[in-house]
Amino acid sequence: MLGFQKKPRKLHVYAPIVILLLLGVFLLRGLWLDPKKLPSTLIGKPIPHATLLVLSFDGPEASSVNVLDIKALQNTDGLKGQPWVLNVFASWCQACLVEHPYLLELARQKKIRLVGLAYKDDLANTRRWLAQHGNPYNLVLIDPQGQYGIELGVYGVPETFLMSASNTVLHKQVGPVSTGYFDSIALPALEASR
Amino acid sequence: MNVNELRPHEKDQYKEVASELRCLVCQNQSLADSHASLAVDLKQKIAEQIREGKTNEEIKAFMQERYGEFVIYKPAYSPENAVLWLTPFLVVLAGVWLARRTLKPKHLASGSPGTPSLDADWAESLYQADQTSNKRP
Repeated sequence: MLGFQKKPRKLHVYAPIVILLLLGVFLLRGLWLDPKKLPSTLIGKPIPHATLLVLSFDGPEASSVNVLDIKALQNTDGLKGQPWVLNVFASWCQACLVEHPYLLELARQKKIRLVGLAYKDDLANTRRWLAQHGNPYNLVLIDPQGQYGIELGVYGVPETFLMSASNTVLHKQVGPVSTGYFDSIALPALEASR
Repeated sequence: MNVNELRPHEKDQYKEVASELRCLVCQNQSLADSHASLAVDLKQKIAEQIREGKTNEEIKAFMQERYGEFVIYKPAYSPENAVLWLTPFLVVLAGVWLARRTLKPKHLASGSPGTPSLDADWAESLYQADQTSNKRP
C-alpha cells in the first residue's frame, strides 16, 4: 500500500533533534546555576528599620544603635556618610573564615566602611573569634536570636550587603565574598546607583 | 513563641502554612519538615503571627517579602511565571494534536482521491450497472 511506504517527513526527522537540542541547552545552563543563590528582595529598597545593640569588648552591651543612623555615626576613618557594607557573620560559621582575610585587607585599605552583624552567636564566642582572627569591622551589631536576620532575609551565613550612603541595599552576596568583591562588584554597583 | 503553645485550631492553620513554605537551608523540604535552625526560627515566626490572628495569605506574604517568591511552593500567576504555568497545558495540547494526526486512518489522513467509500448506494449502483449491461443482448 502506498500510504505505509511514504518517505519519513522532514518534521519527523528534525523535531526530535530540535527538542533534544533545546533540552540540552536548558540542562547545560542548569549545570552552572546555583539553586542555593537566591536574589534578594531588598535590592533597591531601604535597609529594614531596627535598633540593634552594639558589641562592646569590655562589659555588657549597653549602647544600642538604629541601623538607619549607622552612616552618620562618628568614626575616625573619614568614611562617615559614605556607602557601607553590612557583613553577616558568626563565630560558628566556617565559611566566614574564608572571606575573613579579605575583609581585614579591605579594612586596612579603608576602602569602605565595614559593619558586622554577629548572627545567632554567643557573644563571648564572637569576642574571642574577633580577637583571634582580627576585627575588620568599624562596628559590630548583635542579633543573638536571628530576628534582624529574618528581616534581612538571611539564610546562609556569611552574607554581605552593600549599602548606599542613603541606606539603600545595592547588592547582596550569599556566601563568602572573594577578593574581587570591592573592585568588580561593589564599585560598579555604587557607580550604577549614582 | 513555641509551636506547642498553639491551640488545636491554631495548630491546624500552622501545619497548613508551614507545609506550603519552602525551607531555605534544605531546599527540598518544606518548613514543616525541616529542623534547620533558620526553619525553626521561621516556624516560631509563623506561630507568633497565627496567635496575632494573621491569615495564611498574610503570613505567606511576610515570608515572600523577605525571602522572595522562591519560598512559596505555589507561586502566583504573573508575566514572569507565565512559562511555568502555561507550559504543561501547551504540552498536553501538542500531544492531543499529535495523537489525532497519528491515529487518523491512513486513507483519510492522506485524502487520496478516487478511493470509493463502501456504502450501500455505491454497491447498489454497481449492481444496477452490472444488471443493465448483462441484459443487453
